[in-house]
Amino acid sequence: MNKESIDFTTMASNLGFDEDEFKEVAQLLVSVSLSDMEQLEQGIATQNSDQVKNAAHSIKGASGNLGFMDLAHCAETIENSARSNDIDNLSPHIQTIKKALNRISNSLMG
Amino acid sequence: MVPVTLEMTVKETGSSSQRNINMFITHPLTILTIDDHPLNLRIIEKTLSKEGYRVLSAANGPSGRRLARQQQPDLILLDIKMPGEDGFDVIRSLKQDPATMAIPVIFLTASHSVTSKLKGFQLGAVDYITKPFHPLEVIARIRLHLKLSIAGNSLITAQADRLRQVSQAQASLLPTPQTHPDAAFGIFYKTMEEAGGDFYDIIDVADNIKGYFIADFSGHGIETSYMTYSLKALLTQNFTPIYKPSESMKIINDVLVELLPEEKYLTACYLLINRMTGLATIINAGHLPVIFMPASGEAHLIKIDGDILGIFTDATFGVMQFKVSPGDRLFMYTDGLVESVRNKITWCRGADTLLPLFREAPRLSIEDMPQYLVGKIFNDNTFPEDDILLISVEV
Repeated sequence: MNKESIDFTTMASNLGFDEDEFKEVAQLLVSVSLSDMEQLEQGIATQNSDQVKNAAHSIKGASGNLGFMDLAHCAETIENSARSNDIDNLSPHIQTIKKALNRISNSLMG
Repeated sequence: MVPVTLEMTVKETGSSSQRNINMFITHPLTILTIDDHPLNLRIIEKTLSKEGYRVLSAANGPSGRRLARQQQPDLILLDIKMPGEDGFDVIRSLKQDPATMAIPVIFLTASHSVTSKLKGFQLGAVDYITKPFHPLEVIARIRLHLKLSIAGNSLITAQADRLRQVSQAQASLLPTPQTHPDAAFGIFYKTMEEAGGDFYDIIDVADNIKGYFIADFSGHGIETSYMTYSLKALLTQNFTPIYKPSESMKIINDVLVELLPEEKYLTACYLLINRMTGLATIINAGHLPVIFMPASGEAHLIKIDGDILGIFTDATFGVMQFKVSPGDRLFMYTDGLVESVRNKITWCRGADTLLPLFREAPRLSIEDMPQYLVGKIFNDNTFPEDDILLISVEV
């Protein structure tokens, strides 16, 4: 993700939404995905690949639907790793997702 | 909320449907979404309510099914991957419940797997939307399937003009013993043209209750073929446990009277076997008599009078109900089988001439009987210039 501000207007019109509507669902994306991230990290701590996979799947679907494709691809990478029970080296991806969610959250407030 | 009327959709489908002015729907069309992800629910809610739909949302299978029963939505969007009861479980329950079985279901899935999609279709889904979905795609597919559903529920006339048939489509409609192993039947089906005038279907009324339908349209060709397509839809909608077979036949006739061009009609016969109660019901609409071959006893004809389908609104059909036992066999067929036994004889007399062949035939498996009998009747080579259809059924 780059540091430029997010173009909500364009993203909204891609979905056929107006900007306020888009911001409302984007806010929902942030809060649901943050709680998914808690599940994901808990899954890593307890070595529960299924839990990691399901949480990543949820983030992937939701962010993809809104057009946050970088976020979706990163979540997909985690989902695929978890599917092959490889959940020990996910920190960089987790950081990327957290940063992306923060960025969306900050843009929504700004 | 803006009420959605069918007038809008009718206009979009073109002038051919505009005669169906009696089909206006004045209530808003209702869509139920069942998805465990709140974001998906919200996006769909927003998208659809803007288009004038009434939107219901459920975050899991059980509450989705409850809403479906109570609110009778016009269409259901159903997520496959949900914790607990997944989408496949939900659609299975919906399709088994008479209150919800007719509601079209579109699956939402992140999976591109063909197996998963086929499983959904097999369970009764009408379509798939792959995630991430675009709201406009959701609207487009919902519109399409509401149109199809409304057309079906409004007894087909609305969309009839639009149905164009090809022989592959017809062939794909015809069930086989392999696709219906519970139905214990055999089939011989040969058409002289790409689009034949003979038609049959197997109706899964319930686990131990199967319907066997056979029909012969007057004339052949594309026109006939598209009508068989419509007939198939009519059978599925009307031969349900909700109606008695005679009521179903009456409804089907009423629709066909409206649907078929003048001079076009069909003869048909419906056999319903309840293997739990050991009862067989036959409804005859001007069709050839069923041949009944008891497990112990001689083959004989079951002659029942009845009007043909598609001509008279006040038609009456012959109904007969009788006890059957495991091992009993019944045979249904079209005129191609009897008219060539002797030239130009009446159907019933033609059927009489078949009996000795049936009585002498060895007791092969029920799947193999039709092939064997047709081979005997035509000496394995001299097939007539007509469709031939023979169905064998074992109780």
